[in-house]
Amino acid sequence: MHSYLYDSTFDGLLTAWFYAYKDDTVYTICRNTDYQPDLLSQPVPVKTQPDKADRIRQSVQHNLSSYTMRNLYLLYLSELPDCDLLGLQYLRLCFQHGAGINHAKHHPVIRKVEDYRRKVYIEYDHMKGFLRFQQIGGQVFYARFAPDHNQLPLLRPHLERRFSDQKMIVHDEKRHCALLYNLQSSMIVPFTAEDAARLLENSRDDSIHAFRQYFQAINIPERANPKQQAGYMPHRYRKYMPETQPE
Amino acid sequence: MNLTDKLTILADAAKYDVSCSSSGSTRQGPKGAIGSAAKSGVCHSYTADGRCISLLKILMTNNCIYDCAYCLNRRTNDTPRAMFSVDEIVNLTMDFYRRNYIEGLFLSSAIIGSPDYTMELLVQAVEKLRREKNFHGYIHLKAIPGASPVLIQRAGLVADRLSINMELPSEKSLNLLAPEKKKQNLLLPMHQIQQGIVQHREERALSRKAPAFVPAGQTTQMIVGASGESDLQILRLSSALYQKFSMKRVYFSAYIPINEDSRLPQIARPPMLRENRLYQADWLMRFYGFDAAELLDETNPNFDPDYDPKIIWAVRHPEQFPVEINTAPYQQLIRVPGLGIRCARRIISARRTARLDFEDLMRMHVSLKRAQYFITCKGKYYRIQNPQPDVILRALKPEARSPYEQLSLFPDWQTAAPQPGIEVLGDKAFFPKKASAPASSQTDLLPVF
Repeated sequence: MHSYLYDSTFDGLLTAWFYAYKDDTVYTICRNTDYQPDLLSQPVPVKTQPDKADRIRQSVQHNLSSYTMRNLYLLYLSELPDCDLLGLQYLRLCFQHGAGINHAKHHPVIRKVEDYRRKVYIEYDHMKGFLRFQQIGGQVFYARFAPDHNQLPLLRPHLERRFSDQKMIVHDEKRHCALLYNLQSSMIVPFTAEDAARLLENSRDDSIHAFRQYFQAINIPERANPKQQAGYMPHRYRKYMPETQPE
Repeated sequence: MNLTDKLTILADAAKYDVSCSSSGSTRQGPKGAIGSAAKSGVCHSYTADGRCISLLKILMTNNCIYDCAYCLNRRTNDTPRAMFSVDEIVNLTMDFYRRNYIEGLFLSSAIIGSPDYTMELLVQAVEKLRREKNFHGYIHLKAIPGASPVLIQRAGLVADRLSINMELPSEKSLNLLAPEKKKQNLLLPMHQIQQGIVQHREERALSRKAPAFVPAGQTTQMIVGASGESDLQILRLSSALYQKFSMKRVYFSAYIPINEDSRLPQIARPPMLRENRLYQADWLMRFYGFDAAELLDETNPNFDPDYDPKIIWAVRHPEQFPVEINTAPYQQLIRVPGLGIRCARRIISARRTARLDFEDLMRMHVSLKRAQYFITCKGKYYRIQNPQPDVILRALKPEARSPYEQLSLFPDWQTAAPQPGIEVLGDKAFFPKKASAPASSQTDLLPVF
């Protein structure tokens, strides 16, 4: 039994899939940071090879569909416990039956892929709204969040389109990285809590008081329905939404 | 008075406007401009009443020359009054937008001075946002009834969505509760906006660069439960609004007692369940191919508080069921209680690859709670063969509410006697025969109203 370990990049995962595809003794696939040795399997560290990753990309695009490729990428972004192994099962299934197997919504693997895809997109829709910027001097805006799934790559085009005239730092506290945008282009770089603390020194943004007032005033107490509120805006996100926090 | 105090007063005064959607428009500025509008809209926060905050919903002022019985801002109410200047609106919107608090602006106003004066100021604010600030976010503007057509036209060129509130579901109630608002003043601008949208579509066919006119369409809203209309009357009115004015949405707002007034009904809580049933029916009409006449009729003019409109329709039409999952067309699938658009699509997709049984449905997250009584898979029912309507209704009856619920001193909306002063008209008087004939003159824009 083999446990394939890759280096947390999408290319790394594609390479791992490439080598694991023909291996019928795959025990698991995981990031080398998440690996826990066990008695059943031997670890197989995979070195990222862009050419192998590209072969999978080309093959999926050409023989299957871009929808399938998108699903594989979303599985990678989901970072759910068994998403890497599920990706392998999905890949095998698709190559066995063709891209048409995506129609079989009752198939356990396809169903699970759809569920993961939905989870990522639901959170993406949430984050488009729930992200909160604060101004840190000049026209520079800083936001922090800690989404369940890796959302920065998805949010990047949206944020660039929407705020194309303001410099941005969007900090993912869970993955210790940030999206930097300098009016021309954007990139995702490693970013720590200390970096953020240095940035936020001596900066205060008073707009939040006005928004807090607004948040209170627009509520209709006669129609109170906190359960519905929690359904739409889960408590775990509220830490980063200052209007829901007391002053 | 500082800006925050004004914001508190004017947001509080705007909160009874129901619409907060930011959908229907795709707007995208060039690089270096701010803002974009997403086709599906984005919700930015949710208040404790479970409603979303998508747009910065404010009144320009709550100083009103009118005295509508149900309204918080009526002339005779003793509430603090405030007014935003054009610049304050513009700066507040930009500040909030840059911090991703909002998706855009929903600007409305009480009527100050005259309808034209108010509308002029609203349009100025929006034009300033678009032209000076290069703002490409979503803007929903209220058109003021009675404002000049020139101003409505100008508003349509800069806003994504325009709306005019119907206020109440019949002319009779309007005359009683909002005597200064005239039916014509509500319907004429709606007509104008619709014509503008049609005209834009024609121009757009000739040139891609034709300036957009109200790209997200128009909407309206009406108060439910402040006057004696039945659900049937409300549904007929809203379906007429969809057909005559190509409305994007008709919103319902459960009447919330704010003012003491002998013309208004006495209720303990807003009729939220009734509002919910009307929305369910509204969705059935807009997305599921139902007609108002299928959901309610003269013998059953109101919805059942215990069951949703689709179930009631289904048990009254046993000849349509059961529906065979493996062969039924889409239009039939979405009429099954418990199946929605998504489930129906999933079923259609999956059955291309295999014949489905109930286990497959469960694996696809199709809820069988309601659907089981109306569908067969490979010719077989789930549990009960040929369930009769009374069996279905008994099985689906919501559990009895807690016996400790606070009792109301006043009759519920369902059993409420007509309120004094509001005459519940016979259907004949209310829905004249000519309802189906096309409107010939402008005085006859909406015959059911």
